[in-house]
Amino acid sequence: MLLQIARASLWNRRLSVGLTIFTVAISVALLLSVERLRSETRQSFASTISGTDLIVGARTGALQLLLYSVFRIGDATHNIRYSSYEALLEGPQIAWAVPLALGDSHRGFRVLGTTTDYFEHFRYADKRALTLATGARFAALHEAVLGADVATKLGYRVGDPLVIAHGTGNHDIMVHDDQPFRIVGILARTGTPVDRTIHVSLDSLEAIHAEWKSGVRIPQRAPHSHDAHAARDEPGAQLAKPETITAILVGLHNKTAALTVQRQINNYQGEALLAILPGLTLIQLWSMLGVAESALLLVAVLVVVAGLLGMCTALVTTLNERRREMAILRALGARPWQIGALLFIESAAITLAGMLVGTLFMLLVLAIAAPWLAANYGLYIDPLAFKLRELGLLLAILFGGVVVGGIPAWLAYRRSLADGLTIRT
Amino acid sequence: MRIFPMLAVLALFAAPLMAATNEPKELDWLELMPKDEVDSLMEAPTMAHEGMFKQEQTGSFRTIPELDGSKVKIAGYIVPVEVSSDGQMSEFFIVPYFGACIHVPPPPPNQIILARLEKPIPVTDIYDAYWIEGTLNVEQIKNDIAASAYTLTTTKVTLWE
Repeated sequence: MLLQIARASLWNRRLSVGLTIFTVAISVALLLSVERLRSETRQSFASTISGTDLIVGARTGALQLLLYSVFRIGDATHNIRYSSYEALLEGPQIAWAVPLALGDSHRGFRVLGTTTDYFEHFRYADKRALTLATGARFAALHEAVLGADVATKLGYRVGDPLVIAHGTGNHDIMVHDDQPFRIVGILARTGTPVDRTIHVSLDSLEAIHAEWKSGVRIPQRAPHSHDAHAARDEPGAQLAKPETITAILVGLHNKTAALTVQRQINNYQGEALLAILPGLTLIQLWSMLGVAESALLLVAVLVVVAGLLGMCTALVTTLNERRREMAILRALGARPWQIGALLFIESAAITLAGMLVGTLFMLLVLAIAAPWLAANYGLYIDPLAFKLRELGLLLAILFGGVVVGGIPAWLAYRRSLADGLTIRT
Repeated sequence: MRIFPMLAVLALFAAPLMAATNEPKELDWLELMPKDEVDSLMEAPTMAHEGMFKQEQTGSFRTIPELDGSKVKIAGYIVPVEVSSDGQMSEFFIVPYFGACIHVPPPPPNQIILARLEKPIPVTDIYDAYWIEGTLNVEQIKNDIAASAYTLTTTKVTLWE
């Protein structure tokens, strides 16, 4: 009975109620989006690297090394010598070491020069290994293995040609079109920056840069260009070793040696190197982002409070307009508590509707934003991944809505006794 | 402060050294080092401030086999090693002192315990000290040089007070 009256009454004021619902919905959508971004960002970052004991690169900040070597965010400050990699490999503690060379791209996707060891040792999300969806690993020069996103976005298949551009811009102006690559494999989706990477062998990267020693391509002055072409023609031909690489992923025989080896690498006399523990650096990254996260969450919570207070204001102001309505209800035998309950039900209904619309709104926004976030920030957000914490937030909002609804309910309860029947001027 | 299900603790009764009692033994960091190594450290000259790439660790991979399987409680700092895909910590080092103290070498491998968690826990503050409880194992590693390592099947992590 009460529910029916509430529904009819709300419907009667549908414009103002609709606007109120919209206010609540916007605030709920903001809070949920912030929470979703926060948790999904963490998850996305945490899944990106696993099972690697140390990351080695040119001396820079620990966070920056992690970001450019693994997340493909930003660029390396400097490369390191290939000879340092060879020296590192001789260390007694080193179980494996995978070189990474970055700096080129194909239509906005980064090109990673590495060895086949990368497919062997790279792990993501709880030590899962990379698997090929189709094709094979690169074996010869000018063969490329694509991440899942690269293949779907650009519509490439195994066997297609691919031309790598110089630098990491979104548009390919200076291209290595003299040495096209062939796609030999496509990796299964990982939900990490690997999906957005084109993997080629270190030698191939060296080959395409043979003519670029002066920063621009000058074919006639390049002594290596013939080697490169020759090597392409006969697979198995030995190229000159690469001179520089960007970073090294390192695995140790004994994990407890990590701090010691890290120290040895940082003290390396050959050149200035930096070794980081990926797990520790990830945590440091979070503790830095944590402040911004908390600030964002606080703002979002305050917006929800403002939204609910707006709803309260709307209900309180309508009480005056609805004096007649209440009076009629009372005259028909409604008790004061029933009038109060009516207002409670209304506020709960508005909050619920706001939550529903807000959640849908959040899904819509995230669905639109997800590809863009993946493309620009390497963050993989799943709009449909509902978490227990979000349910908790929604329940808290509902609770807040009902509590706030107590104010108009109490007012209605108080006034309904005499108010409305007495004519005021 | 995290308290793990008591069941997990009860399941670890069978620790051979602690057959009589169920209380974990409080372990001192130097107990993890062979006696002769501790003695030689006592006599060692002050630390030279130099480092080379291929510098060998001097005997610090040596562990004490008798400690294998014992239920222990040790105070130390946490260095996160593996972060699980839901953003929680699944493996960490327990070290006797915190931070990249650049003046002296880091703790040698037999002064570091690799703690594994069955159920990952949220990342704790790396600047705080913790009591960490669990079953200590001496893991043999196939590689000759890195002979062995301490690992701890962790059951309880509490703030050090």
